[in-house]
Amino acid sequence: MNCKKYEKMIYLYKELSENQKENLNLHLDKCQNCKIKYLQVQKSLYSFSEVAKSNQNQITNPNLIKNNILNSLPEKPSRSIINVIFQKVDIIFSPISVKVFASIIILFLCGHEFYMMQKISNLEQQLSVKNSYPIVSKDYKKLTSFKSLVYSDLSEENLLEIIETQLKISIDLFQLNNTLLSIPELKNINIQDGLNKNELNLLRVNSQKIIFHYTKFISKGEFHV
Amino acid sequence: MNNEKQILIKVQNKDKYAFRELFDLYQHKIYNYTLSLIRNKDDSLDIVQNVFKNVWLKINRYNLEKEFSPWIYKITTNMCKDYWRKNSRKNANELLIEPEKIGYNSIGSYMEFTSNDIISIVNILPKKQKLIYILRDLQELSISDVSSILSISKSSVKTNLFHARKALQLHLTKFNQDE
Repeated sequence: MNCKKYEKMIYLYKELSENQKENLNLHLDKCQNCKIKYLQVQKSLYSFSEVAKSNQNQITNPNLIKNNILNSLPEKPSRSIINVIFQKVDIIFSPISVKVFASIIILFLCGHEFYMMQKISNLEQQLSVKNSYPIVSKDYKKLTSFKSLVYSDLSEENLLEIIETQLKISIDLFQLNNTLLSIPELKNINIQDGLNKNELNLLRVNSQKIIFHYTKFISKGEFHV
Repeated sequence: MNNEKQILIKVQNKDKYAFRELFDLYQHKIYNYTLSLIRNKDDSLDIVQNVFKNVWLKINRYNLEKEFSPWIYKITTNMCKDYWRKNSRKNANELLIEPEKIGYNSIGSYMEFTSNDIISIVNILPKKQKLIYILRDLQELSISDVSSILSISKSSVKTNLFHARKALQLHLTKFNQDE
């Protein structure tokens, strides 16, 4: 007879289901050793826990302790900014909040990237229509580098002004000078010498021409960007 | 709605009179539980005070739909574990509760045990088994409550309970034979 398997059941009698108790009782009816063990365990452990429960230590002066606690309690939980933040942190970093927050951030980033791509694509179309030829991909790359400047809703004129300024900075000055040489009213301007106010105004006024000639050079492959 | 729930609702609304009633309901249970675990009367009183201060401060985190006793026992258990960590050396040297009555010579004479004898006997168990035995057999919490208080599985609670009861049974039997 496998008494070992019933030993655990004897010690965990209180935790057994009705079926398990019935099963154990059937075994105890047949096995005298287990029956004795069961009676011993029940008697000693049960008696011990009952004595322990009825013979507990008492707080000698509970009213003193109670008053100590009550006197040390704040009227209301502290509402300092730090406490409020820490209370909120519990909510913020709950698993669901983290997932929702992360999803919103990801959706925002995707949406924003899509919006920027659309805006740049529109600008590209507008410029290529005005200049009657497509802007080559290298120029498009240059334009995309301006996307941080396109975040706000700029008018086309403002945008061109920015592109114009950017052309001065981001494109090789030698190549830009070549472009300016091909425009009669700008051929005297040398970017490398720096620009005065009048020259800057001239560049602004002729910004479309600059872009036109610049992209024309590129499309003809007269110089490399 | 039972009386305890009504008290807890009032405590959540920062009613100090209700808090007094809550203290009266749980003070002895929490004190005994703490004393059984750390075996130092002064430190146990300090822990009891801190437990109830924490209850007052964190009562709004308690979910009224759940039982209160596992919640307060969990706070107490965590404080006792913290105490064990901080006082691991102190416990070894300092005067702890010692058994007052070692004159029991049969199972029938358990009635002669003092509360300190009982604490000393339970203390032969390893910490985890001691926690589980006290929560289940002396504080009479359910297996699922013990499991949630200690953040362990129900089967682990049962296994530890089996070993704890077996060790206690052996200890008591051996003591009777020695006598």
